[in-house]
Amino acid sequence: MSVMTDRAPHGGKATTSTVAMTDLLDRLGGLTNAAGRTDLGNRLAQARTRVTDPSLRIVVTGETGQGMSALVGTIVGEIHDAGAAPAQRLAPGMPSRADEGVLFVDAPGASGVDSAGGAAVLSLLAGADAVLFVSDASQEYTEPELAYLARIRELCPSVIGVLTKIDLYQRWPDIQRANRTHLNNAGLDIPLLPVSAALNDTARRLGDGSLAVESGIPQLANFLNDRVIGGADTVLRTSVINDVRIVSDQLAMALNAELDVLNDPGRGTELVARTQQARAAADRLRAQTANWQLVLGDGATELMVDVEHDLRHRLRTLVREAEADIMGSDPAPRWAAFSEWLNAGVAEAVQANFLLAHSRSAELARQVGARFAEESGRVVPELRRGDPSYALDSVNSLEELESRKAGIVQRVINSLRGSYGGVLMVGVVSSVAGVALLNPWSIGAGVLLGANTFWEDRKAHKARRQAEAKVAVARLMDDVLFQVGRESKFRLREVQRYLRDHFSAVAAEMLRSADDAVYAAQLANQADADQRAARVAVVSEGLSELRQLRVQAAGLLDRSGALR
Amino acid sequence: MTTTGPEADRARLIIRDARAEFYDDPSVAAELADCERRLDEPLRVALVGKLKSGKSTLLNALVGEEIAPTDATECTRVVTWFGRSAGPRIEVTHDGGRRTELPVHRTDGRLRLDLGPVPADRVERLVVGWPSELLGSYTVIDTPGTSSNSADVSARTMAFLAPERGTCEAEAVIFLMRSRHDSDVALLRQMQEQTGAGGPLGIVGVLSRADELAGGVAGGAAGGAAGSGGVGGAAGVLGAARQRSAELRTDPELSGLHRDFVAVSGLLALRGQTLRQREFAALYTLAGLPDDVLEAALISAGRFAGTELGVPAVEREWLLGEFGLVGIRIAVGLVRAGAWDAPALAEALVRESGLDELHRVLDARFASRHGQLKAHAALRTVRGVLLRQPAARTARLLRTVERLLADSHAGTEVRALAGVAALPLAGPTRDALDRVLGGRGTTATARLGLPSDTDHHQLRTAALHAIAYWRAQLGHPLLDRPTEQAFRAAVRSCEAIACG
Repeated sequence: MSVMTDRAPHGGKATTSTVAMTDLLDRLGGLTNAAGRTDLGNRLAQARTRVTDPSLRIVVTGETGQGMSALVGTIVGEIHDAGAAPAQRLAPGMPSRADEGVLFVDAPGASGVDSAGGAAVLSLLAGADAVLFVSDASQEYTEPELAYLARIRELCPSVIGVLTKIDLYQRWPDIQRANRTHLNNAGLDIPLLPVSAALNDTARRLGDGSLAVESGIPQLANFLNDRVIGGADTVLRTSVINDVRIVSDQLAMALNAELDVLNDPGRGTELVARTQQARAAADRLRAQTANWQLVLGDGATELMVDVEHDLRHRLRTLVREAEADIMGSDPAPRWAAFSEWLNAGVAEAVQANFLLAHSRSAELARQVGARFAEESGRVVPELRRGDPSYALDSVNSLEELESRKAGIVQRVINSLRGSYGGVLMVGVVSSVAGVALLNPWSIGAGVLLGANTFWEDRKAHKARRQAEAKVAVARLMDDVLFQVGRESKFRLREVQRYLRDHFSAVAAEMLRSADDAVYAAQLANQADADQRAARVAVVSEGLSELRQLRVQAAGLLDRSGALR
Repeated sequence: MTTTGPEADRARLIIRDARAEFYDDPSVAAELADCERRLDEPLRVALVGKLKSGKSTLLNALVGEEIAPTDATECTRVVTWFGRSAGPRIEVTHDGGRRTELPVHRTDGRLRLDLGPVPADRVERLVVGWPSELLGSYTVIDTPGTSSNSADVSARTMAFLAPERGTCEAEAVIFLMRSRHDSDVALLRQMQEQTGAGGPLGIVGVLSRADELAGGVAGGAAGGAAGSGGVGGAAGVLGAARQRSAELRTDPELSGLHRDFVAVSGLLALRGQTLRQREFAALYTLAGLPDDVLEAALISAGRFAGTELGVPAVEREWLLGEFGLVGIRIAVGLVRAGAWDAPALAEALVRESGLDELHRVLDARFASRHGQLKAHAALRTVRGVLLRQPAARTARLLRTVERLLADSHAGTEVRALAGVAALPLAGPTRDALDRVLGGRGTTATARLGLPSDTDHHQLRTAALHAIAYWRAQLGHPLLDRPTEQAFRAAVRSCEAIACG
């Protein structure tokens, strides 16, 4: 499989908000540095990287000879026209890293799930932001094409069907209609866009606008700009907003605790005690016995067992079929065909197993995230909520928009989804992806063929050959189970480690914030009247600055909300 | 029509022998009588391929009339048999053997196959009788495409090709594919496994819809049509398809499978045979337009339909429907290259379509081996019938049948012939091998490349020379297994001539 990459820059509308977002993150970064919170600063730096280098990966795939390469070239040119920066067209196979842009990965030749290239393509799809499924207008979708589409859909929710070469086939609307019927019957809701790269090229050469529209390419480019690139932009903004909210929440925790004690010195000791309780909750969150740790541990074990069981089950079914086939007639004369069939079966089993591991890992990440959110809700100290003027709660617009006035648990869950939820999934997905790359054919190389040469040397009886064939199949399956099972376990441990590291880091951040809150409350409790007055001014100042940043973040959401 | 030749005679004898043995069992006797009758019927050739591979269009092109319905989307839904009859007739067998005659309707020269009140899944067989010369030599069976999204449609084809009980009813297969996809390779493999298991012995490969490959190359520009007669040359229209066909001969994905694919455009062949004066008139007008005007109009189907070109809109629509944009480009190119009247254009279209080449291959592979292919199929069927009877009564007959089936040099030849294109040989050697195995006709003179009036003595001498030559080739130390087998088959073929 050759991978061809092309980059097209983002549309122009992203750039203004990019400036607003980096500005916001930089200012909040200043505040975290001032508070000495390098851990939170790191998180903001990561968010900044995501804003300035929002690489999107769009995979173009389909059966060979459907006009994929022509389509990629044409679309890159067209998206460039819609945007501002110059387009980069890179030679096939060249690695590309532009500062800002869309990466088109051309994955041709995936002519069905049982194809040899299929496994490698599947893992490309796992991390894709969108997939263009290309099929030409000479005929409606075939059964293998639909099966492939269904698989793509499992791995990447954003799939767009592209009907190419409509200049050559005047009956393309009939094909489109037939395809739509097939998709409906299969329960696949996928947009279908008819295009002709050749027409678009001619239109560009002649400068003919109506011909360009007839080619369907500008419509496809717009669709990509609005839905995929625009959609990714919305996700990006949501994630920035959530980072701003979480970091400002953490920073405000100490400030709020201090301000409460300063304003109500009579209840000082009680308030300090409350911050200490919150600190204890944060400590528990970090411990091995925290609920989320248990969910993760149990979940990961269960996941590994299930995935292995699934693979075992699939291979066992295959062995049964293979044995029935072997016993049906003498395996020797058709051994090559049989090996090929068996290999295809193994590839199919490994791929299906990979899909299961993929979806189950994502599910585990969600479960752990939800449990963590629920537990971490207790870390925020329950302080006085009386006077709205200096508490951050007054800036409710952000929370209301996002969580529809849900409780704090819901709010943290939402922030998880938006903020590191996306990043988290990328990590999980890339951990699992390697399994699909594993080449099951190389595993059993020689095992099956070896049996055949054996037979040629010696004129054995049919029954004997059948017995030997069964042994060969069993050995191959053992090999596959061992190799794939080991690789798969390794990958799933990687997922587990990734999730544990991730949530442990967040728990550590929370503990530090809780520590700061305890310390600030204790200091405030010991201060005298003069010191108090001075601190109230400083703390109020700090809080109002945070509040301002949050108002601005809410503004980003308004804009992104309007985009939807 | 009586099938002749030693193989057919031997088969007939064993069938009569079996009939005599089972004279007391009317049902078995009837089955055997059926086998004997079938021996004298035309060869049953099935058209097999994935959906939209152009099977029905090719059938129409072979017959020269539009008797198999075609459409842009999936169209053939039941296995349809086309045989020769004195007048047009359509008969459907359904619901456990009930036969219903259907009315024959034609619109614009196209036969409509309306099953009437019978739903497709209850149809057991659809038989179309048609007065056609081709159907006198072949009964052509049009199968619904595989890889269809309607599982039952694909299932019907598979049930026909690989029946659970009995043997495949087709005796030869024309396998169509547009380009080599996994599902094509899988289907081809399945077909060839059938060949081993008693299915059709002969396979002819067709790279179908070959005109579209040319159209794809021409791209958005009007291509050859606008160029100064660039398309008119013999290599022109199907050049891209022939190139692809040559690549398939060495394609590793097809290793061990049939690799010889004739590039054919069923559409052009059919249009050539059904060309009407009004179509020619419209194409002639288009050919007379200035290059830039024509080029601009032929950019897309939409453009062509919407541009006034001295041809009425209704005629342009008609042309698009009949020829397609690619077909119009090619036809206009042919007119410009010198096809100045309708008969000349018709001839040029058929010539460029690759149909003649297909006819030549069909003659060499099927027609000239008619007796062998029929005998093979008959013996397979007889074997199936006998195996269901008590062993005590059939042991002797089955021994003879098995011996005849095993001793079929004809089968070896057909298989070797199919592989010749892929062998690592120099051009002249490959040609000679193809010829001696009967690729250009199965008469002794055709095999040895001698004039047809060569006398018996000279023929024998030439055959002995040929034996010596192919034996010498066998001595080459670096021979691979397929080549060795092909050379052995060549020696055996020459021996048959020498004994002749």
